[in-house]
Amino acid sequence: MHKSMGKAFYWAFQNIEKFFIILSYGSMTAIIFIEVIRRFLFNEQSAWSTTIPIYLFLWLAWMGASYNTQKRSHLRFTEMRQRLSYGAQFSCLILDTVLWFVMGAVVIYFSVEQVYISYDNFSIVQGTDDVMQWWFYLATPCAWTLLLIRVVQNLVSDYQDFKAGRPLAVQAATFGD
Amino acid sequence: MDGLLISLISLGVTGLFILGVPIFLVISFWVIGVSLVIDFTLANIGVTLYEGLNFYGLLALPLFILTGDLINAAGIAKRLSDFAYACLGFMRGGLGMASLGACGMFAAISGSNSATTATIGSIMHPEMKKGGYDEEFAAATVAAGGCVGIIIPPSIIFIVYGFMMNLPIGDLFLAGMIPGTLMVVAMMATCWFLSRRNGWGHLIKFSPKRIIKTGSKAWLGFLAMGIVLFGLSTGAFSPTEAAGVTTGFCLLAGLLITRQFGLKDLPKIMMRSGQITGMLAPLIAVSVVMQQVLSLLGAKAFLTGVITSLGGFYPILFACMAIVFVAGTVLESLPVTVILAPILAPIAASIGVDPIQFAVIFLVGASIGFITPPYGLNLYVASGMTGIPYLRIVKHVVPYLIALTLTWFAIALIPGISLWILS
Repeated sequence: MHKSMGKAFYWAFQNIEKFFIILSYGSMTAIIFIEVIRRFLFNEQSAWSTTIPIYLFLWLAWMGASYNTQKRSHLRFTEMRQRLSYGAQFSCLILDTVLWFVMGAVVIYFSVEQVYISYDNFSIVQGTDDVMQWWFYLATPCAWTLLLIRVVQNLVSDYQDFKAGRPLAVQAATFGD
Repeated sequence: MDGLLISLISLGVTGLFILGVPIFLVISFWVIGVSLVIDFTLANIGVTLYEGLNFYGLLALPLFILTGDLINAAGIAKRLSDFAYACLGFMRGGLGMASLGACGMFAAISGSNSATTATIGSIMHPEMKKGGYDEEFAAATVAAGGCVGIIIPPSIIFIVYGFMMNLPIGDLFLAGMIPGTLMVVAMMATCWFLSRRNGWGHLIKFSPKRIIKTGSKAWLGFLAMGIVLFGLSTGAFSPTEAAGVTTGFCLLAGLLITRQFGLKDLPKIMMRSGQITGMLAPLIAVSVVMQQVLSLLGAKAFLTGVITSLGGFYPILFACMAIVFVAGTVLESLPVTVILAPILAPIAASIGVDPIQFAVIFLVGASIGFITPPYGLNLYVASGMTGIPYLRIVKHVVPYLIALTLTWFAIALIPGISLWILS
């Protein structure tokens, strides 16, 4: 029982980004499509149809960034890294990890501040009565926290590959699964 | 002292780029390093990562990316490719030219270079290989063909450019139509010449019946192009709304008409698009921060001083083009646009170049960057898709590069190519 719950939790955790990406992408597309059709056919459109999609895009963009980290598919120039020695390639992977953590610390620290300011000011999404802006601003710190967890997961996997002498993940996957 | 430190930081991040660190991190570390040197608050990063993406027009980017994936999944891209082959297959190099034509048609529905290369390449590269073409040349053809993805409307980069420079995105789209078509024609001529010289490709009989048959099967593709063009030219929708309507149309076409995918396939299609959006959107946000830091450093005034000191219309215009070209060889088109457009566009305007025409000149240059090494994204996509080493594709892409550069100069020197349609 515990084992299957653990498995389910692990599966859910590994797919958090997918859940947010599909939810935000689907809602954003549906709102824009339906509201244009409504305006075209019935001459009416909701005021929030041009604001909520912008905020949904924040979740899509930053969860997408985390997903690309998980899949190692961020844009990069890989020609030189592929030609380095095995040890140097592993060092480059450690360098990536360190850089992600420094950037992550900066982004999380300052974006939490922004979320707090928005929360403290009771900022409401334009065109709505009770949809809070901070629900959407939360996307950046949440996605970056997740991104850093993916960085650690990748490093653990790289270390295991390195110890076993398996090829390291130095080829950028432009289009993943 | 600050200048020396900033130079060292720039050298350091160049080293990171060469070592294969993600471009997002390369730009981020330049921003963090220089911000610390000039005592500029890092809190700006926290704010701009929201504000840099807070623009309704930018939503067209994920929507057109999704449209591209839906066209592919719905089988519309394959039907457009078949139609292009039926039209051009009777000529030497016809299949290669059809690949380029299919890239142009795909670009008229979607708006991304790499998506154009990936989609049309996955359909046409195996066909070209079977059809007697050199496989490295075939890979170079689809990589080069993808360059029109961001020029023929709709275009993701035109949206970003319009967003940055406060220009009407609909006008930018229309201005890209003739230059994009000209680029396709120039590449087709190159393909024809090379195929004829090397005896590549098998010929098929010219058959109006086959053209009509494949054309009628591709009607959904033509209708999707029509929706985009109708919306933009009549002003019925904004570019973002046109993207939303096209996405909805392609979704319904795939689900109900071609029935090539079902509801259960949608998450996979959306994840593919979401992955590309997750690559590009953070790059836009961090490039906006970089642009702000460059402004604080006075880069705009410095570069303006250097370029305008050249004197005369042509030296200044060619210097702007050279900067875009060089930047395109080492950077992705989004950072190139976000960083350089606010600097170069006012310089071009000061010598009397129309802002819309300069946008086209700028973006055709940035688009050529997709096939210029060391950083040519389409070459990577073609290499990843075909398994052919990157440098072997580079060798075969050179003739296309020359053809596109000549077209680029024609677009720069003849304003009517971009502006006629707007008049």
